[in-house]
Amino acid sequence: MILLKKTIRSMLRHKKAYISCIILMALGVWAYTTMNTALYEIENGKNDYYSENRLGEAFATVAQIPKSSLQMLNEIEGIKQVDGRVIQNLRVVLPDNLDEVIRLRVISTVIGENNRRLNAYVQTGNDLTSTKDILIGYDFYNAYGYEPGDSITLLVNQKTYDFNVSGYVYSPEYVYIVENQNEFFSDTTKFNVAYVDENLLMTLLGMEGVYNDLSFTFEEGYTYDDVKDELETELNAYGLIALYERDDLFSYMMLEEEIRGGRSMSTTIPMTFVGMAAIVLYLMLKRIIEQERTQIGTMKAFGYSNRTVLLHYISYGFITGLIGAIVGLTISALTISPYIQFYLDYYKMPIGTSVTNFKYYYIGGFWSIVGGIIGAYFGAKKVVQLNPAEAMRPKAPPPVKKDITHAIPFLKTILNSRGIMTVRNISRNKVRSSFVILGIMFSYSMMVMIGMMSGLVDTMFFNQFTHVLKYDAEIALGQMVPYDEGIQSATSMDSIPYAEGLLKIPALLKNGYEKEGTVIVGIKEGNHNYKVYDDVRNINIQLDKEGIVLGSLLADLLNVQKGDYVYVESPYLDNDQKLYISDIVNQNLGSSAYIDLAYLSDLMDQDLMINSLIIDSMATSDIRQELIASDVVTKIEDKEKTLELYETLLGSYDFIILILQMIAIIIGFTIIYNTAVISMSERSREYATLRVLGLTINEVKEIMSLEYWLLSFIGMALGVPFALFLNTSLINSIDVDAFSWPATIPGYAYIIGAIGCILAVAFSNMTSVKAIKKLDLVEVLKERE
Amino acid sequence: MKKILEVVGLTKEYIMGEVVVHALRGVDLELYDGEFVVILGPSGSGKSTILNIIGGIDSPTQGKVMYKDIEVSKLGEKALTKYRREAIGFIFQFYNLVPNLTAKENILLASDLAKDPIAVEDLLKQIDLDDRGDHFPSQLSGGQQQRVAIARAVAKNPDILLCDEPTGALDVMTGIGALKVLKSFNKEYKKTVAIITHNKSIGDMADRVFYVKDGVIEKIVVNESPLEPEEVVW
Repeated sequence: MILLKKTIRSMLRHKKAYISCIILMALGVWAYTTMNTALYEIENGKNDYYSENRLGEAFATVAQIPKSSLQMLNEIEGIKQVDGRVIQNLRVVLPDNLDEVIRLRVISTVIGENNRRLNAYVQTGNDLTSTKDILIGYDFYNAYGYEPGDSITLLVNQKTYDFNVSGYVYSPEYVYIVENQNEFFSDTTKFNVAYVDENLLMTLLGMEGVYNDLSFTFEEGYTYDDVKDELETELNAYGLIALYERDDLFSYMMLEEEIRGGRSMSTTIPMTFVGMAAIVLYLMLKRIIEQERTQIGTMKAFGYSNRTVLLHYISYGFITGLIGAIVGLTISALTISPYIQFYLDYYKMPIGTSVTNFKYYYIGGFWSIVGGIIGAYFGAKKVVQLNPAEAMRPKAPPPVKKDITHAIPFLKTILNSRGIMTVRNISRNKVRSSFVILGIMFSYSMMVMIGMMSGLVDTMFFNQFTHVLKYDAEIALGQMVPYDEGIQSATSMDSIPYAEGLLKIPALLKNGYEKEGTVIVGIKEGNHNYKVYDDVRNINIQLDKEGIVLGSLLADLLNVQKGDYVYVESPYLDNDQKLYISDIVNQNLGSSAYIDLAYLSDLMDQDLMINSLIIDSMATSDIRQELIASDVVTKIEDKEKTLELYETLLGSYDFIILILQMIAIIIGFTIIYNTAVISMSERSREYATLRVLGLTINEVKEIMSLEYWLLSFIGMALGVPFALFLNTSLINSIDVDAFSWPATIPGYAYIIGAIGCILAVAFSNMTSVKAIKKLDLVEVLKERE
Repeated sequence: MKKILEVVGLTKEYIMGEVVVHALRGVDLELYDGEFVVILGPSGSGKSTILNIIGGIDSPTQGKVMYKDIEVSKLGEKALTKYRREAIGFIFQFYNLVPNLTAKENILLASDLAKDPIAVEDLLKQIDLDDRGDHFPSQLSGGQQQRVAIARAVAKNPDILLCDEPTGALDVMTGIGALKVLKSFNKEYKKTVAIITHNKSIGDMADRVFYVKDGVIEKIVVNESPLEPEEVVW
């Protein structure tokens, strides 16, 4: 009990140092527990969700396939279940949003059979009971304030149809909802999913008795590769557009990637925090215990055993770890729901935010306490083993070894005695100096990466909107129209002074075994509103008259280079085409391919056609009103509004980056501050002597701060290759088609990292000045060494 | 001799919890240019407090300390630092050498601060450590360390050397060695030396001896024929 009192009082005496250790511990525990628990809940919830609702293991898009042919597909060896659907993107007519093109991916279902069909939706409200009913995606339902029984109007073949809203749904197939894979962000209020009766949708679309989309599951022991060839052969007869396995389902892929990326960071980063806190504790306790040598000697002389004394000092680490665990776990308990919700805002699943498994809470708490105990044990074990008489004597000075001034005699000629003190302090306290260097290296590289992320997003969108998309708005057409006709129709409107046309076709690019789906963009020679801009070379790439230009990410995935050939398969091409790769364009955003429009038209054996108009006009509202009734127009995308959407989405992203930056600065500061406190306590006598000799507070501070500036400089220098290593790890862990992480770190990221570290060192130095001011010269000099 | 420092009505009270400790109860003393004085008294008599206040590392509760025409007791932090830097050389019982600097560098540390420092090589010769200038404190004996500490205090060329029990941690022979160095600096560089000690024998080598008891100067004895350090019998 007495020893516990001693522990508590001693900890209160050094409370600032312990608090900063606790902060590091708590950060580690919080990050570990929250990240892992959230990932566990998301992954577990996702698996249950996919399994309970029978997410397909393969998918196919075809031109048309009769219902009756499904039986034949079901007989292929390895196929367990085949479901056919009609899927069509349809425009929603909202009276309050007439100038917006808002669409739903309308999916057919068989009323009453949802619980046996593949990709079953999870609905709230009433299920579909009649052909007039519709179920719509949750965010969409919520955003426009629908209630069961409300009416919603869809535009089909230029005619409007009213449906009764039954309720809202989640679809396992669409946990991440984008209209096409080239869209970077999901805006579920402008595009979502809906389910209606199969017969009705077939009738509305003139597709009686035929499907255009299929889902498959496999028999036990069969995989996609076992059935793929036979399926492909069979489906070719029905105009196969795409056949892919679950791993290539975009929403599935995005979520899996998110979980994989999260997993790669969820243990290493938090455990680094805990490890650092343990080292700080070790250094701090080593010093405190050395100061208490006489007390240890006295306790042992009274008859306290080594074990009791050691346990007493281990209790310092135990308490620090315990408080760190309590603080970290409490913050985690408070933030876990919003953290899971943060995922669910992007990945739409009805899995809730409550925690069902506390495994990571126990592990996080356990490691915090163990980290504290280990740090304390190594800090204490040596002194505790001394015999009482030896412990009561002052510690013998360490033997003089050759140091850096011997190795580099030149230093003595350029440094004054204060400078020599600094370099010797560094070279003679190797453990402490190495720790500061490691801490700064970690903190700096983290800040470089965070700085890079924040700048990268800005650069990506800046490049996208200033160099690539130079137009004001894009009008997507549901069908191809002749170039001149399209342009003429557009410019005949008063509000469109200028227009250009694009042709965008889906395609599968092949190089040996490598295959990648993409969109080929046909751009007319001489047009200037859509550029193929290289983010690294900062130039516009000219399209070859007989060649294809690939985005760098696409080229990497296909393993091709400039000058190679690639095979192009598309429902719009009669045969596979072998095309010459005239250039590779470095792009951080998107993974498209680009061809001269005239060349693409030749390949398609048609006149110059387009399915997209890019226009110069600020009057997009007028255009929307004018074109809203047109069945040809499927979407009007206003660049300014898209930018606004990105800025809104990036607002939360910036906030996360700011928090990460603050954490990195806290780590840097905590490490520097703690080692400075230890150093201050070890050298208070030295500093007091300097003050008595006549050195000013600033001169003493300079000795101390020079040491930290030098160590920080070394730490930052080592942080450069470490940041490059982290970046390479990140590149390997990110595998999303729409987005590529650049291999080089821009200069500004290094500067941001350096500013962060400089702030941490400067702030820590400021607190050191306080400690120097507080030195009681008389008391410090009275104490025996 | 010219008066260099004057202490008038010096009192010092420490509040220790609920108890007020009167360390000094009205001390008056004067120090003259180039004289060698010893402040003598038992433990707890207040002699170290006098030295600390004179040296500008502690402040009085009442009274004043005048260095030449400067009232030290009224100086702010910056001016006190300047005063310590230029006027005072401190020598401590436990030497307080900087462990990461060699003997020579420890002396340089002080001489770097001074406008008119004494050459380090001369000082090393005078303390008979010219062949050990590159040794670190841990490689020197206690007596050698104290000689380096004295040389470090002298290196700034201050007017007054304040020595707090300079022989307290040394045996007789090394103690005499340290005192010889102090005496030689006193004679050669005309420095005022004030030693506080509880060792009455050291008083025999002083020009004047201040006897301190219970926070007051009980008596001042002028020594007509001070002894040399090696003549002092401990």
